[in-house]
Amino acid sequence: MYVKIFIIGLMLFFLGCGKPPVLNRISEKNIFGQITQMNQEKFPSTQLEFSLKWLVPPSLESLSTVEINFNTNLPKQYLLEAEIVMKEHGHGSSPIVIEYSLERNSIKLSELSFFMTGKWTLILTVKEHNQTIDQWEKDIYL
Amino acid sequence: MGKRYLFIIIFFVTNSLHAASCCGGGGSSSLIIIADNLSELSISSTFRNNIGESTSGGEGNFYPSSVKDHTYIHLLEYKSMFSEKWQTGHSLSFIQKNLSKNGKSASFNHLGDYSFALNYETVSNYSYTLWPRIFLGLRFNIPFGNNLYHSSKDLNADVVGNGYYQFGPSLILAKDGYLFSLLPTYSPAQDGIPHFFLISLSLSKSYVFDEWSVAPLTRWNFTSNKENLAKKIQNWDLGITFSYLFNTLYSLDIGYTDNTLLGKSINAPLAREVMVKINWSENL
Repeated sequence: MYVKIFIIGLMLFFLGCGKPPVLNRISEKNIFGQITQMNQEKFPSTQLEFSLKWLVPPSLESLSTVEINFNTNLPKQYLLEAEIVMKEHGHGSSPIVIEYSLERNSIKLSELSFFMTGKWTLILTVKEHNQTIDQWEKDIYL
Repeated sequence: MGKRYLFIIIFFVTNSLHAASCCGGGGSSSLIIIADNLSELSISSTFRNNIGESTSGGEGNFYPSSVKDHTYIHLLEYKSMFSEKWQTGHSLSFIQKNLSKNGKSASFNHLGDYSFALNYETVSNYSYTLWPRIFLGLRFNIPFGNNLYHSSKDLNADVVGNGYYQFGPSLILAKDGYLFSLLPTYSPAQDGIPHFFLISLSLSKSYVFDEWSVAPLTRWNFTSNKENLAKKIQNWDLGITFSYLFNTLYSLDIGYTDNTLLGKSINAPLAREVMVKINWSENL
């Protein structure tokens, strides 16, 4: 009798709480669907337009690099900051290296450490005189 | 085999299962003597292979084979009765991590957590009643390692053990080889991290075959939101432990726990664990 109760209990747990991870693997489409090139992106306030091109796409196997190409030169008083965070887990990652091109129309972000799978958010912040004047973000599924 | 011998086997196994935590850092352990022993000492080593994470939608996101996320947990546990009904339990973990991701590698060794439990046998087990033995208790956790939000090492290698000061009550029911536990835990606000709570609910059953025994276990673990910081976490552990009783003093447990096989997992690390444990007991 107790064996039956135990087995029934297990089945109730199983059926009542959805598919286990091993039977509900995230699909390749979901993983890599949003980390290809992103064209015609725009900061909402400054209206700065740009595109992103992954030189080394996000993965667990290596540090990633992305190039941001602005449609116009970034004004000298503007500084760009970048970070990647996992909002659902409440943490970020190690600092990102930022390199400006001479004309300030291209910025390379390197050493992006996507150290676990899940939903990351890439956040770009434009600062002027140490004040945030604009922010753009995009979710990246790894 | 004497009835007493059988009784000891059953409760060594079920206690071992409770000690084998998966993916929760320190996990929830009942730290309780159920067999007729005055004290129990055990030492265990657990190898945990983190193989991915689950998403907020409950999908399993598994690492590629090139990623290594290994943790070795060495645990020393001591439990003793200090009166007919009252008992205490202590555990101390030492944790080793070896990680390789993003083209980086990191290793870290550190003390994990010290846990203390105080339990009182509220209802005793008499064969002529249907009531199980009922234990009520209090548990405390003192961390020696960092939690995720205070990590300063590459790949969060210094996140060892539970990482939080926590406490909570415990309710444990035991009868005929069944062991049920309800372990709610409160984590007060600390070092800028908001308060949150955890619940662990488990059920196991021991089957005995002479000196050998086997015990399956299922356990539901839930961690609440951390306000403005992180969303809820849920996972289900499925475990099995094989135990061999050398004599009334010594036994060996070998256990396997997996949280990818049962129930919906949300925002949780996905891991598989293998545990080896040696138990020594001082009989009443």
